[in-house]
Amino acid sequence: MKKSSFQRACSLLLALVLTVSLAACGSQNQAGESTPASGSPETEDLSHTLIYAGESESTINPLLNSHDELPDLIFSGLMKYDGNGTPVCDLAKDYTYDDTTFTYTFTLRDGVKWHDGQSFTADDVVYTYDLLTQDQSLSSSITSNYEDVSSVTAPDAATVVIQLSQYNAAMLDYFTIGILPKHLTEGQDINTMSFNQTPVGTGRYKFVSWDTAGGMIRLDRNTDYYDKVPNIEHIIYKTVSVESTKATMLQSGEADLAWLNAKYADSFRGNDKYKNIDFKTADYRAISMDFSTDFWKNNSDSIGVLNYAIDKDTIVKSVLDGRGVAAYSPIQLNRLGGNTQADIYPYDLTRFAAEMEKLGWVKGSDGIYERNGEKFHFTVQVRDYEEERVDIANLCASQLKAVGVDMEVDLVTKFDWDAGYNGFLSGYAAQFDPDMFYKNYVTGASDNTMHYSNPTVDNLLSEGRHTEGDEARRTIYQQFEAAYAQQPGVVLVAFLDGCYVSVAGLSGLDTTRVLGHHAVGVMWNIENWTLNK
Amino acid sequence: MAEVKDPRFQVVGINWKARPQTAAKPVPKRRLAGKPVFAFVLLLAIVLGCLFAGQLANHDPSGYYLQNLNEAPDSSFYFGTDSLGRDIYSMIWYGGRVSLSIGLMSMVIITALGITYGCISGLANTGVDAVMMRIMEMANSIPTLLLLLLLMSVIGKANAVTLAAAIGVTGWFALARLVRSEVRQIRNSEYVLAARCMGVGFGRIMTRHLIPNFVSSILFVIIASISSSISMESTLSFLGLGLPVDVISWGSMLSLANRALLLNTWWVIIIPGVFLLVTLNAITSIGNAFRKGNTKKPSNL
Amino acid sequence: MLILSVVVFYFARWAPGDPLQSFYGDAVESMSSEELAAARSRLGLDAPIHVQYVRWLQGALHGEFGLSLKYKMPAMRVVSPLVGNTLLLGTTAYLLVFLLATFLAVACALHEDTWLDRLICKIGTAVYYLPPFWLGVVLVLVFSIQLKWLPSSGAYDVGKAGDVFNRLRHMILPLTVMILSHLWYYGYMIRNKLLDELRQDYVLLAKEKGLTKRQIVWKHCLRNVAPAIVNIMAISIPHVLSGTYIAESVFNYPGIGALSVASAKYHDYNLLMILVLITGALVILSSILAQTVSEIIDPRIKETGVSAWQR
Repeated sequence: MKKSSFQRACSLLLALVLTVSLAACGSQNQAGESTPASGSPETEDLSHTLIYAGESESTINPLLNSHDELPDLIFSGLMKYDGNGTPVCDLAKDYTYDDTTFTYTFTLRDGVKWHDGQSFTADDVVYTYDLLTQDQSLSSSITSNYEDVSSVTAPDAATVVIQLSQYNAAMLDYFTIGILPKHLTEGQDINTMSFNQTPVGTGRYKFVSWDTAGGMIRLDRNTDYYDKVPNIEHIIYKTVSVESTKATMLQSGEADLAWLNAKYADSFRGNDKYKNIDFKTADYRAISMDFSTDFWKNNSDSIGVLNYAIDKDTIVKSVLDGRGVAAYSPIQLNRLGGNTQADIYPYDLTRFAAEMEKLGWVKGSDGIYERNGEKFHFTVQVRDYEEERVDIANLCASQLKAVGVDMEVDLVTKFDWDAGYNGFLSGYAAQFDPDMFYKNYVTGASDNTMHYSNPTVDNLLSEGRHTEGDEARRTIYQQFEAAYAQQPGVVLVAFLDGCYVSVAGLSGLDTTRVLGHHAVGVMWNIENWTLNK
Repeated sequence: MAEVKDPRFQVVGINWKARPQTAAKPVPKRRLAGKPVFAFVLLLAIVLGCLFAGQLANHDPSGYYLQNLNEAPDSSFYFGTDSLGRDIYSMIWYGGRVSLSIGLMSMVIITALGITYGCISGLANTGVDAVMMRIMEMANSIPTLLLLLLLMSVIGKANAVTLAAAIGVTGWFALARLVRSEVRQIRNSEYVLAARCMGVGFGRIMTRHLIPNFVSSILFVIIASISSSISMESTLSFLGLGLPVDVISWGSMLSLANRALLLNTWWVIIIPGVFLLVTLNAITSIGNAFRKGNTKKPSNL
Repeated sequence: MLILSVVVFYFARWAPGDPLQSFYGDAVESMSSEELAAARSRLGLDAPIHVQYVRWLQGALHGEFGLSLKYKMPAMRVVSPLVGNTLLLGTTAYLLVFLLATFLAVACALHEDTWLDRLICKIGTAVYYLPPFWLGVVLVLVFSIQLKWLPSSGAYDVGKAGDVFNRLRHMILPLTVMILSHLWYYGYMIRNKLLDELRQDYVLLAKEKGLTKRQIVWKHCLRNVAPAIVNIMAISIPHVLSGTYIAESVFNYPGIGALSVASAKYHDYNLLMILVLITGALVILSSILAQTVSEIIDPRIKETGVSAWQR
């Protein structure tokens, strides 16, 4: 009896300690968060608030999140893209380029303020570009874009001089990267600093609060913005982890705008309470092979041939409800790409069988191809919360299986690069300059996660990056397309449309812009949107 | 508890007459009511259907009929097709195989673990018993689903067997507790004591003396564990921690409910749900039938 | 709880999936081996497991539970705002389950073996076996999409964190799912306890005294069954808590249940650790509470020193 009450007291104590520490943390947190929120009245008029249902977020940082909507709203860069995807001045008032020394000289706008009231200066720019080019701990997939930057200096508070080691055709594009405030982030680990959850930028909207308990991020328009101040006063970004929930939120009136997959978007068509806004995107879905795994080290010659066996048009028709297009080149929708000569793999099963025979594959007793004692069996990881990816992977697997290739699909929530998968169902986009794929396809580049290596491709992409003039570059990129099709590292399946659905009262969305991966960039002209709820 | 009919014995006690009269009635009536029979027939039909899935199915259960997307039930696709043109009718039978076998496998694991642990704990001395119960209490203080989440994320790639094992390993606590209390009730009876005195081993005592004595009282729990395992499988599939995509089960079919709702294809949601529900209920009412036999005493009300 | 933390910690580190990778995302691929080693040591992942554990424990005693690998901030900061939501949902569901279960059980006991009893039993069992996530989806379809009466997701609307009614509206659907999926399990248990109680001799006495059926059941039987109910309640906490995982996931309700599911899938073990510990602490606390209550209701338990597991 005594003993048991002692034990009970002990466990009670332990549990209490934990709860108290928890409560302490909780109250601390609330104190930190409620201050800005308390400024808004309890029952709020939502007619000037845009509620956007988006993916769940963990950080808001332009250096870390290259395909998210929020960094683009909160931060701004030296340059920005206009509707056609051409870089124009933003934080920079103007710039000059000296083509003998490959030097850009930017004159910054006057009187730009960070959202916390501090002045924006050239030091912030230098600091950000130093991070991108020098910080070893920065784990960002975009560092390859800045390889040619040799020095960044600020002769005075309103001037930034960026010198390149050689000509780089896409450099102005990369100057669109958002600038981080030096005074708030210097000396911290960029990957884990708490700034990532309380960002301060110079952009059109300012961050107000991140209410994890309510699953929403709150932004207010930046009334001190140096350019056109947006019409819509507030944005609530609701973090939603399930795709179908975004659709139900629209239907039940809990959201005003969301990016949906083609099938869900279709269920809103013809309903005059909603608007369907269909963007073109440069976002492709493909089966990317990992060349660091033994299977593809031995069989890298047998990737292109798989294209013959995949009926891409039917996949587009069924999975994407026709909202997309079959893919043959990673940059086929780019302004410098689209070489139809690279479309060398029609859907043709007899051709497939013939090519496989040429490559030395022989069908085994179980109907699966074999070569050198190895079965044509490879594993592919697919992220489970994107239904279109799952469906595409399933259909490809079933079509390949039918012709004797065993592609095993594994659903994961988070890609696991160490588990030895032979590939993954990938999605990438080069919505602006085709050089955006330099980081994906050049040997050892920062986003070449699949270890693809092809000297011809390396040369062409490098040449494309360092050549002046659209016509010359077009020739190079079309050569790249053809060369890549000969010896591909991915089996391209389809380009997706970006299907947005909004309430009828939202207007101003402009579909001239080609969107990026996950249909990102829809808010490029948000300052012109209007909302009548 | 059965009424003694031998004329040599005379029943004595307060108002004993009232009892046989009221007690005798419901017994045959309940049998005739035939609830378990109906459930049994239903269950048999479903089990047979799943066993002969190959004969019943008129399409490839893992095939995608891309020309027939979202088709309502008709003469070719009896239960319709889903958004990728899979035939629900054929999937039901093949999926049932997987679901039912997961249920059975988990049941076997639960029974084996639960009975063994319960018997050891029940027969052991107070100290060991207390420790064993503490361990179980600890395991019990984490929700089963959280334990399963942990297990499944550690296992990584699941197949039907590992899934059944995980469900089994996390599901035996209640049974063990029950077995232990049963064992403690009979551990001091003469025949167990006698067997122990004669040096009979633990395994033999368990199988020969203990299990036959409490099997009737735990049968319900064992049968119910089949249904709870089947529904656990479907929950895990829904949460995305279940079977791989190419394995069809009722759970994985149901987990597509989310998207079917938005596309207004009711058959994708309702039909597997009905099959699951009917099966689980049939199993439970059969289990209940075993339990009802035990409570014959009439109410005093 | 200490043992629990050790087990989970070791478990977590054996698990597949490189924590470094969930931390740095896809960029790990492009890091050189020196960079990888540096990152590893920065996160303290290079030490042997037991050293890592001691470090973690030291931190834990100071309220530091490590960084969440997915959210890239201290795990405690991820979890603490969500605990309240789950407590609210869980406690309400828990109390309602037992309240409703008792009412149903009494209704059944009063009309044992009549059509009412059978109907409640049948429907109860059928509903109990409805997969909760499926039920949730159907509820969303009916009440959010078709009727537009209730919100389909979230804990509260924009700017209404303090609005009780708004919170309640958001809780109705998750509560319905949680209650329906547990109700009859306990309802049936209590019903059977009550039926056993009705076979006690004192019921005859009470009947002789001229009490009505209702009076007997409500005043006498229920009071005698109460300790048993409280005991069931004490051990059922983890079971009911299981319901939050599904309800929160289906309704996108920000709470530790949905977070547990997400972090298990993400191999975010620092986060999962803390979630397991919090859940354990909640369960232990409430079990102690339940035991104290049952001691107050039934002093016999205290005298004999019989705790729940020794019954």
